[in-house]
Amino acid sequence: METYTHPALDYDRNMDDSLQLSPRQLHLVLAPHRAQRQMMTILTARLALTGRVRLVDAGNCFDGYGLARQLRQQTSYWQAALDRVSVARAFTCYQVETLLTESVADFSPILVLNLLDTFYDENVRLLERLRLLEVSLAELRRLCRVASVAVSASLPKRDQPGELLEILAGAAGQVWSFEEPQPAEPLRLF
Amino acid sequence: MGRTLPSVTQVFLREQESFLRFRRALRRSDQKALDDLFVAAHKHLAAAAYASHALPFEVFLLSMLLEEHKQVLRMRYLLNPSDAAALEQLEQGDSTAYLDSLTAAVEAGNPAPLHEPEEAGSPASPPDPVGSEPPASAPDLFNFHG
Amino acid sequence: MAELKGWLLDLFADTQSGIVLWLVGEDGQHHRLTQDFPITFYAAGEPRRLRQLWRFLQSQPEKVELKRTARRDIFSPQPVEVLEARVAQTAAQPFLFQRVAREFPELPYYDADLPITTRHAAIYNTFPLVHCQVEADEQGRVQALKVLDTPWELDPPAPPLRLLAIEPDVDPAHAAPTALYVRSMSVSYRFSLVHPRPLLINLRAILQRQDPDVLMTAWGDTWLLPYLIDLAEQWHIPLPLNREQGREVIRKDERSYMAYGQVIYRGKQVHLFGRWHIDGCNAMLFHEYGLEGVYELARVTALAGQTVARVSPGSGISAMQMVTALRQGIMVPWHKQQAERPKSALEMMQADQGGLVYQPLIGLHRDVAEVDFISMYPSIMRHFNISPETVADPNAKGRDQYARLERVSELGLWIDQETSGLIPQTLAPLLDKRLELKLRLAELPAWDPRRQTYQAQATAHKWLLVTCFGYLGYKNARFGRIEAHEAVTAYGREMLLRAKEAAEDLGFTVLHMYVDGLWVKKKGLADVPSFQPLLEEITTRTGLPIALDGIYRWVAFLPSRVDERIPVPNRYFGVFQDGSLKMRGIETRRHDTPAWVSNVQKEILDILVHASNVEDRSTYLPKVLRSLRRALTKLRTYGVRVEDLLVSQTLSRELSEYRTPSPAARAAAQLAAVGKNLRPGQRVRFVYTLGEPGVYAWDLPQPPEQRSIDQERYCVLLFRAAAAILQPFGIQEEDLKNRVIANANEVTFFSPAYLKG
Repeated sequence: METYTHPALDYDRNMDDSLQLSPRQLHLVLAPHRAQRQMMTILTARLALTGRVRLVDAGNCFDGYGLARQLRQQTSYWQAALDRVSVARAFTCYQVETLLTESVADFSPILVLNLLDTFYDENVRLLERLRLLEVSLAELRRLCRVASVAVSASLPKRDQPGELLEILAGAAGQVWSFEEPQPAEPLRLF
Repeated sequence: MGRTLPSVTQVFLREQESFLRFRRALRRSDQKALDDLFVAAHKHLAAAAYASHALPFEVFLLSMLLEEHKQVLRMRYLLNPSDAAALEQLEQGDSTAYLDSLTAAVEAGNPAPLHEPEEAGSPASPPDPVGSEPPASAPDLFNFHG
Repeated sequence: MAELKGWLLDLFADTQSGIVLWLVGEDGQHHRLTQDFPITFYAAGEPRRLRQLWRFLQSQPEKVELKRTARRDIFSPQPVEVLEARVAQTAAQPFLFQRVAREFPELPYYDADLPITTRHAAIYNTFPLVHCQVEADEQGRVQALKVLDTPWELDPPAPPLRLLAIEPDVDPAHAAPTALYVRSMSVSYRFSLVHPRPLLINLRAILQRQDPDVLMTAWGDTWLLPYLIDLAEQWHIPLPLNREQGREVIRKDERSYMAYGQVIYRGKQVHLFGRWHIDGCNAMLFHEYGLEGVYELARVTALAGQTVARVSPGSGISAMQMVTALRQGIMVPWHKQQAERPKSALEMMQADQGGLVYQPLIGLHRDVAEVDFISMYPSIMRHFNISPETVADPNAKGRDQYARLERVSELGLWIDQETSGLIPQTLAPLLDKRLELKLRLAELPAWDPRRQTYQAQATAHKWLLVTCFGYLGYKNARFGRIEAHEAVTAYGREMLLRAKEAAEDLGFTVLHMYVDGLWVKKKGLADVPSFQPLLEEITTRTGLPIALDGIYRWVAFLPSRVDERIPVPNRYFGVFQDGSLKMRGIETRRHDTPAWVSNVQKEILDILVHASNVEDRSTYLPKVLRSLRRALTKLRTYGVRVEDLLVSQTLSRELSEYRTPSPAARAAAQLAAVGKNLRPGQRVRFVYTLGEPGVYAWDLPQPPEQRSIDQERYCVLLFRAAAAILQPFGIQEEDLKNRVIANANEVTFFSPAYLKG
């Protein structure tokens, strides 16, 4: 597990090189919400330059405009690149499971945004959510066999169960963890 | 309820915010002019939303330009409605005529006259009586301060 | 064998077997009948697992008939292989299903958790308050049942329902009640709460004698009935709240939950057997349509009256869809499994939009017509056949299965026009009834007593229709589908633009547009007939019904409070030619505005409405200034009741979750300190006070002191509200303040104006 203590919010294109996807690996990007979103957008843009990308938006956080801006900066054929990105959204944990089960393995990289978001919905019993998560991870492992798969998630809030992230991290082969930097000590003159 | 992308108003506000540093470094009078541009673009958010452009700022810029042009049209009309008509004709016919005269005037060191009678191209229109008026408020394009 | 004619009041599962029906007979009697009612549910999935499920079901104590069959799932083009389980005993099915779902959690289930009334409606066409004819044997067992009316009739023979109303003398959240008022059509009593024994004995006698069909209460769910039930238990004097013997009332807990992006709070509930309990303070939208509205909702949705009064309109629409589905042999999924089909990022940006919302031309405009599409989104769903199963993806396999595809404007979406979809079929009768009702209301004279009933029914319909669109895209809606939702908004945008083009082609100026309506004007046109050609042209170009909402004598579109040059889509007010006012987004319309401010704003609006010439300030400004001065004088001299200064805000989260507490949170903290804990989604009422913490909660034991009220804060609110209205007339807030205070000697303690009140 590689851990970065970079100020996650300053992540920009220059840092992009560290998120290299390897085949047949389940990659996990763990970062605070806003950083996670930014990183996955940049990763999507980079992948879309050279081929199709499939996004599963599991947290209603797909940043269309951000993606367009990124692509525009990198190529004049940005519209064609944008067209190569396909998005499907899941608004409940049941839909996450359905989307992953129905995903066809066609060799394009698959990015799952904010996988755990819907699994924190307390209107669904925890046992049921755990079951759905296990099924979802099994589907992700299936997809890993033929494509690069990257999943993003954030740390659970105080009142949210930590086991969901633990299960996810346990299933991942490569984990990149970005933490919030500690606030710097104020400079003392005397 | 299934909405993922931010609303056009949110996108607009975010774009406006991304220019805050630029705005801060401008002189106060220039800041006000910049604000006017954004207010102008705000009037056409619905059309910007409908455009569904992947780079919305381009549509906001076009909206600003739209309002600027409306200002020009308004001012022409204010000068004198028939003057406005004559100017419209100028543009429909040989649109570079007044530009050419502007260039010539600069080279000759004279302020550019606003009105020039149409030479060729305009069919049965009578000679433009406007051409005889003195070039009153010719804007000094290079040294104009707000 | 007896033949009974009457109205169905209540229907529920019997503890023994089958269901119980309570009928309000034409003979004036109440009849308790029973009926066999087996419940069928289905399971799909892997054959191996279904075989295990079969064996599991056979081993259960409940009597279940099992069968292998194929049935329709609306999201599948082909019928689905399912295990059919028919449970003989109605009451047993929910418990059995719970066990099944725990043992086999991954299987898709259908028809598993539907309301009994919904199932009954699908088979027998019944609904609460249906007029019907029943053949029953000596034991009261139903042998045959025939319905005599439908929910879609305008004037069905009304059941002779007996009402009884009970309410405490004061809001229990505010202070401890000391008496109860009990009223019916014939009697009216007041009982002291100080002596429980006579209270209970009297209540019991009244319940038995009056034998009401509908028990109306105030705070019955949250305080009154739980209090009485506990009291009855303490004193061993049972109250016959249920008409059904041998049953406890149903009690539900309070809860807060997230829905539609907001925190919603549901109070505790008490449901009765054999009669309806409606709590006017806990019923959904009760102030909008009252009891008549509840009756209509029950009829139209086939949900029990006590249920429909308390659930959101979304549940009502869902129930209607279920009835349509069941009648056609379409299975109702237990969980929403269906997910979005992938789109390209570009398509996503085009599809993920709402209605077109314009920025109006700011200021005052005269002779403006407001033209609105009638129930636009439901009409679109019906006209263009939009339903979860009609949205086609031609790129997917099986494209040739679709006989007639129509593209949704510029989106990559196609709608199959071949067969009428579930949603259009569900909505059609509701839309037709709504239209018929509108026409009827337009014809009726103002004094006709039927107006009130029709109005309430129309409002109930409106809420159902307004919700059905949102429900189509709702993540948990069983028959929801996001592509269908997006198709509807796409058509909405397209049709509004066509309406705009029609208006502009006919020489109108479009002042404003908002999702389903336009404001237009044309020089010289100010009467109803002159707008008729426009309405016809719009209907021709769009295929949708459109109506003239009214012609404004004048309407003012307000700018943003932050910058006067920036238009805001939803803040305006105007007066129609018939003298009625319409306003949106201003203080009087908002919950959190104190009554004192709203009232003054209304006064000012009234002055403007009656001004002989809005272009001449002298016809209204002096009166406005007097109104403001009067209001300020009253405030300064402590003549304003504290109740009229109450601000009402919703608590958006748990108290502990606030980083910087809002005024509502600070007030809620005060209440928590005296043991009154509020849940997120509940409203807090308070006044602004001087010093810290700046608020004083309303429901505290001691009322706030008049002298502690922060009068300056209220003055600010008043002027802001007044300025909002006067701004389009060219009067600025500072100017207004100066003019009001200018004649300050009028605003003194001893001024004759004050003494006259």
